[in-house]
Amino acid sequence: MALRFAVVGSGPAGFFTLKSLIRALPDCKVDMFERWPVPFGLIRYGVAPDHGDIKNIIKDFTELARCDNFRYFGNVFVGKDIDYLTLSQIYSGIIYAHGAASADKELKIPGGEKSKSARQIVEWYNGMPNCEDFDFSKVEKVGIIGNGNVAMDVARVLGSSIERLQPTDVAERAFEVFSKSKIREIDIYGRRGPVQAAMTVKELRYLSKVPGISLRVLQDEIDRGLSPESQNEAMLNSVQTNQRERARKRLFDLINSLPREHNPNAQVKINLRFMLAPISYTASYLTLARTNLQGPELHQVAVPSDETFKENCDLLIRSIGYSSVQIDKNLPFDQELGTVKNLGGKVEGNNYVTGWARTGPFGVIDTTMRNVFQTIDTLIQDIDNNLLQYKPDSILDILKCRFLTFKQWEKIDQYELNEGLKKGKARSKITSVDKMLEIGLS
Amino acid sequence: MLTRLGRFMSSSKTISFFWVTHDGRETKVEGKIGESLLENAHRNSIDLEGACDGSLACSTCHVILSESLYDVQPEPTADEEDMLDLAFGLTPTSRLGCQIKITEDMSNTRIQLPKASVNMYVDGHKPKPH
Ligand SMILES: Cc1cc2nc3c(=O)[nH]c(=O)nc-3n(C[C@H](O)[C@H](O)[C@H](O)COP(=O)(O)OP(=O)(O)OC[C@H]3O[C@@H](n4cnc5c(N)ncnc54)[C@H](O)[C@@H]3O)c2cc1C
Ligand code: FES
Repeated sequence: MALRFAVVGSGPAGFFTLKSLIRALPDCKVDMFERWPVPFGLIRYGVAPDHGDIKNIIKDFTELARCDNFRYFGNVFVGKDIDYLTLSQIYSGIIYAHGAASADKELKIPGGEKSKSARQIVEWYNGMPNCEDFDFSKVEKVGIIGNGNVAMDVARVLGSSIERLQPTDVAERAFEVFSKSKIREIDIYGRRGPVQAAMTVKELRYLSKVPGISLRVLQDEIDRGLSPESQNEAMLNSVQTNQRERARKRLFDLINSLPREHNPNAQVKINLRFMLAPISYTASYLTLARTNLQGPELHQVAVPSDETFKENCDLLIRSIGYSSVQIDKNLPFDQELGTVKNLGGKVEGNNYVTGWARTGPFGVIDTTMRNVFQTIDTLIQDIDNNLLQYKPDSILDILKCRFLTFKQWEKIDQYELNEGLKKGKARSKITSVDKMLEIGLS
Repeated sequence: MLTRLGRFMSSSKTISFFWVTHDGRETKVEGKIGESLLENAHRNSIDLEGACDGSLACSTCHVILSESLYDVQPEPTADEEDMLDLAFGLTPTSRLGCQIKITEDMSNTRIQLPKASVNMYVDGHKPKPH
């Protein structure tokens, strides 16, 4: 008998959960279930190929995974291969860390259904199995709706030269398409102004430095966004007193320092556009309305004006948010928020939730990590209050599907790294589940 | 990269200083001149993450310096400032632990981990048996 925990999902939240559990309860046992054969969630299928530095985190997770208290069950879909009620019977505690990256919001304008989701493009260039294929051979001008970090990633990857992408772990199917790409210009549209821009300063700075890409803003759109309320939001005229104001001000300063004209020698021109709402889309152009900001400070909304115009747009990408789905009918789920219902990370009984499954798709890995610490605190309090029971090991008798251990994943890992080495790439990702299983189980 | 460089540059000279966890507990450690605070934390099993291995991509290595220590540090680069913008519970004397090198100025100072960031439970916490 031992304290046995099940962790659902192998993204950052899953692995920080493992780390926190082992740190607090050195004798506990942890089993992790992942729907794909391969681990690491959005580190593998979200983070852009040219963000190798944050992928360093995999080293730490791998070391953790090699400890004796831990077992990995890849290729196990919780909600299908094993369910909520079974898990809660056979484990002392279950921590749901299955993220919020399984669906995305629709673009509710006429023709919006012709847009492609940034999520699909990201999964495609990152080599997720079972993806729609893309073809950019007829695309010269791209429009991206939304200006968060995912939009920055997509613009940067689509705008990068193939020389820049070649050494990364970008999926080979995407690399082939990129090598025939005719993309020359990308518009990134924000409904509100530069003070309300959704990206972080780090990602914008990165985009602004990519060789071959020219990034600019339009003066009239910046001016239109600078309502008195906006100026106050970033304390543009006085001293910033808190972290939010500081970040806003630094982001605004960077946006405002971008050139107004393109470098004529650039291979790809990116326009960071503001105060524009999409109205309708046909296959070759996007109709937009200029917006005005209304409402009090920090709650300003963009209201479309009568002033409309058209922009060429061969490919429209919506980057307006990831969302989550309910993975098991018995797991309490808030349909409106798209998150698992919880209080301080506790769902009910011996079930807990953390990471994006708890918060929705917001923040970076640091945010996710802090969220895990909080959920684990709640769990530890329950242990102190004798609410969790010691359990025997019974998963192997119950689980009927084929699964992969961490050692078997490491075979796949080695294979991908070796193939990558041959091709001068950081990694050559396998994009078929069958092939993953074949190599892992061989 | 940066961590490796730090290791390379650290000399044999040492000082002592204190890590202060969220709950005010102090751990006295020995610091090698030239190593980064992140490396020092890991060497001494202090719960400071360093998710991106010192490549300025994560801000999980956020630490809070004393005002006097903050003042004698070289200015943070724009890249470090960009990450500090995202750090949890930023304070006026916050820095990233992977970017701060141990110097003689640090002798007997206190390096604080940000309040809300560290697990609220105590290390090696033993649950009561059932
Ligand atoms: C495109 C993109 C780029 C990003 N880039 C960065 C970046 O550069 N830097 C940064 O700090 N942050 C970045 N982030 C944010 C970061 O990825 C998240 O903070 C973090 O991944 C959230 O962790 P998580 O574990 O909650 O979710 P996830 O990473 O999504 O992990 C959830 C895991 O659960 C699995 N799962 C889902 N359903 C089931 C099921 N039913 N059964 C079993 N397993 C299941 C999934 O397959 C996945 O492996 C990015 C996010 C996106 C979307
Ligand atoms: S370890 Fe990632 S920024 Fe310091």
